[in-house]
Amino acid sequence: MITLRSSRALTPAILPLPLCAALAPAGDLHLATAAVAVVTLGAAAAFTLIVRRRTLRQADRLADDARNITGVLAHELRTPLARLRNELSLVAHDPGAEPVRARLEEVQAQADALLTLFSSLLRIAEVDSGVRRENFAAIDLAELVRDCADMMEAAVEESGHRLIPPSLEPIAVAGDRQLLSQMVINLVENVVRHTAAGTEIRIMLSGSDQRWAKLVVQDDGPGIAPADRARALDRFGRLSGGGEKGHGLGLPLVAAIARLHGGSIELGDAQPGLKVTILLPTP
Amino acid sequence: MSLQLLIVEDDEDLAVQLGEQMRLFGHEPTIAPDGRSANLLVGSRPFDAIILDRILPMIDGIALLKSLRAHNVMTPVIMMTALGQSRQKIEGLESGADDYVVKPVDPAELNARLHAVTRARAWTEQGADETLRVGDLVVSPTRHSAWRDGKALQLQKTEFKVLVELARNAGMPVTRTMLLERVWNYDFEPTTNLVDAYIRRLRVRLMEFGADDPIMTIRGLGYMLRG
Repeated sequence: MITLRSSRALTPAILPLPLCAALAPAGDLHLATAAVAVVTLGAAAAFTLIVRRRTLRQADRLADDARNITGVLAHELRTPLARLRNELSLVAHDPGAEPVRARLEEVQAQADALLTLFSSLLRIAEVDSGVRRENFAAIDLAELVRDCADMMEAAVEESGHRLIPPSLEPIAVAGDRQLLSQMVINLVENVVRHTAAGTEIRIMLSGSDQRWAKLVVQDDGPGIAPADRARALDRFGRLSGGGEKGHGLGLPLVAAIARLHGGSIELGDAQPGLKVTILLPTP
Repeated sequence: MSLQLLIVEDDEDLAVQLGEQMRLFGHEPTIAPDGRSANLLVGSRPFDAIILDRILPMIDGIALLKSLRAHNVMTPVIMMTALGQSRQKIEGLESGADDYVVKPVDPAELNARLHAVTRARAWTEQGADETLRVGDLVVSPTRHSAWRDGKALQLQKTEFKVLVELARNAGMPVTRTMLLERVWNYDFEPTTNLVDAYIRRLRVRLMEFGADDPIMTIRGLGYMLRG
């Protein structure tokens, strides 16, 4: 099982006082925490911890920067690309363009595909920014999942997959209705896209305890090998095999939505198939 | 249907391109580069619809819209913004916009929405629950029922909602995005063809008694109920 969790959630490192004093102003540590720590671990172990913690922080910052740059690039490139696409559309309407109209339409379709990709990246950037927390409201998650299943049913049936009527316990969460709907739909779409016709899709929602809503979407397809599960949650982390490919942004968006809601995502084995478990905190 | 359009956009290149595109759809656009000149133009002649950029020099798009509505100018307004966040969308709609699109906008999508907002004024005047008649189809939103050639159609709740949306815009294209927003209330586009799958189901129901398919596919855009 892979649990996606920020390295910032690790227990604060425990450091010798001189190091604490040096690092505290830079915001790496709370001095008080560190001061207590030296007594417990000693200097050598504390030094190892600080190096590890700093490395993780740097990796986190680099990952944040990469995410931000991706979002900025998508935003900045989207407008000129759309203008180019719309200019092509104008040219295609010109009577003189008749001999090359089909090719112009092909290029337009390629530009549309790129614009869709940019929209997906911007959606993830918007979720990661946390701004959507402003839309959080009390949501009947069972009703939302039922609506999503209804929405998907026709497309799932056409693809030759089977959506088993969801098993839903009534449970409420605080969240963004649009994003949670997109999360559920993405999970079902993920099965449709990456498994063969005939695959069964099951959706289950339960209040695993008083504090968490547990949403499971599982199938009886080929699943994802344990070694590939972390990559499946990376942007553009497409895996080999598994039918028609997307851009590898579906599961990363689901993970981002779960994180925004203070929850988590796990990819596991449905024996056979993929089992995706989302945990969301209840109010 | 040719519309007299006011495009309020300070980015000159974008305004000119948008104007050219709207002309291709048969509309007559007038461009205002800022809120103040837009205000003067609206006061001097009638427009069928306004395409309004949210961020403008001098008078902000939201402020202009509020001022127009306060002065009882009820021309349909589609607000355009670079920001796709729902907070901005809600703010635009609460200020009196009829619809909201995120830049860069596909001109065909914008054209479909222009027709929809001008049509929507007609329902507001008639009442949104008015029975709709399109060819041999009769759709009653209040009774949640539809008939074709006098025979009752067996439609699921969502299929019925899709039909109502198509019937309200009969003779005009309704885009997939518009259907996702209006039928399912989604602000995102799923990657699978969920809307197309529903339309195929609806077609089967509408042709149950052997009549022709009344829904036309507009390639790359959406669907239209033949008027």
